[in-house]
Amino acid sequence: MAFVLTLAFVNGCATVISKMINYRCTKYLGTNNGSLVNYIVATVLSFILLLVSTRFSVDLYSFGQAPWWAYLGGAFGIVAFIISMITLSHLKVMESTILLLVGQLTAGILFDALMFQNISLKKILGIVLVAAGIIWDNRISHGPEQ
Amino acid sequence: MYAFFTLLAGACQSAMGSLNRMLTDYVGMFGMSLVVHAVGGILLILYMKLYCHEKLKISGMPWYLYSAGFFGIFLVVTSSYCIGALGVSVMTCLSVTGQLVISAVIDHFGWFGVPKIPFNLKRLPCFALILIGLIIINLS
Repeated sequence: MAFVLTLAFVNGCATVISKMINYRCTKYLGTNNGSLVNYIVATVLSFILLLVSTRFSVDLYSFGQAPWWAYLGGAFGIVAFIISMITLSHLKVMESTILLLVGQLTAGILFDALMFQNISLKKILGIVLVAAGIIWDNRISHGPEQ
Repeated sequence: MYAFFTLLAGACQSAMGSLNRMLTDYVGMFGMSLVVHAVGGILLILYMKLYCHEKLKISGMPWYLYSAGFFGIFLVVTSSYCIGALGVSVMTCLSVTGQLVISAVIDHFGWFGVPKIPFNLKRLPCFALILIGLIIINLS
């Protein structure tokens, strides 16, 4: 369990470093092309890793086994990307950060309850406290007095 | 209106996490990463071509910036793994906490050439509240 918790935390750290790299990419290529680089390199690299990890015998049958809507993850990611690009210039950084978080957590609790059935009242209380801490921190870091 | 769409963008990110988790069960982590990035890349190209009428260009950056793709894979694979064990909402809590902590550290020490911003001690109670929340989640 400690390993998963640490990995989830490290995932957050990597997110920030990845955002910094992506930001620099967009300085060279513009917002859309700068993000496209990430997708193209990741697609090629994933393909190589898939080949190597399966010793060059990819089980194509398993790709057909997955329900069609399981393939929509990438589409939701792009929708989120395009919406944030458009709305970012109309909202304060603090507002958009908080709104993204609240949207993520509300939907997250819903998905956990419906799909994974691993949600409890105690867990929701903890999540609300974490969200309150993050929003409070956001007000201090990006608040009007800064 | 913009606020509503930003909420929706957050919900999309959670949907992406849940769906990627399910896809991993069928095609493994690298298969999932391939599908997610290929689907996302194709849709982004369509958006740029049909909506923005923008020219595609991915050359002309210093070589190390191409590591963006490596981070892309690391992020989807670790998210999917953690969501399987923790659920989407708890994973989001931990990941955002990680983002806050590393951002504070990077700002404080001025790593990667960012302007140095010393840590604001007023933020400590917020971090304490987050920690209490995480402990409660862990106990449940």
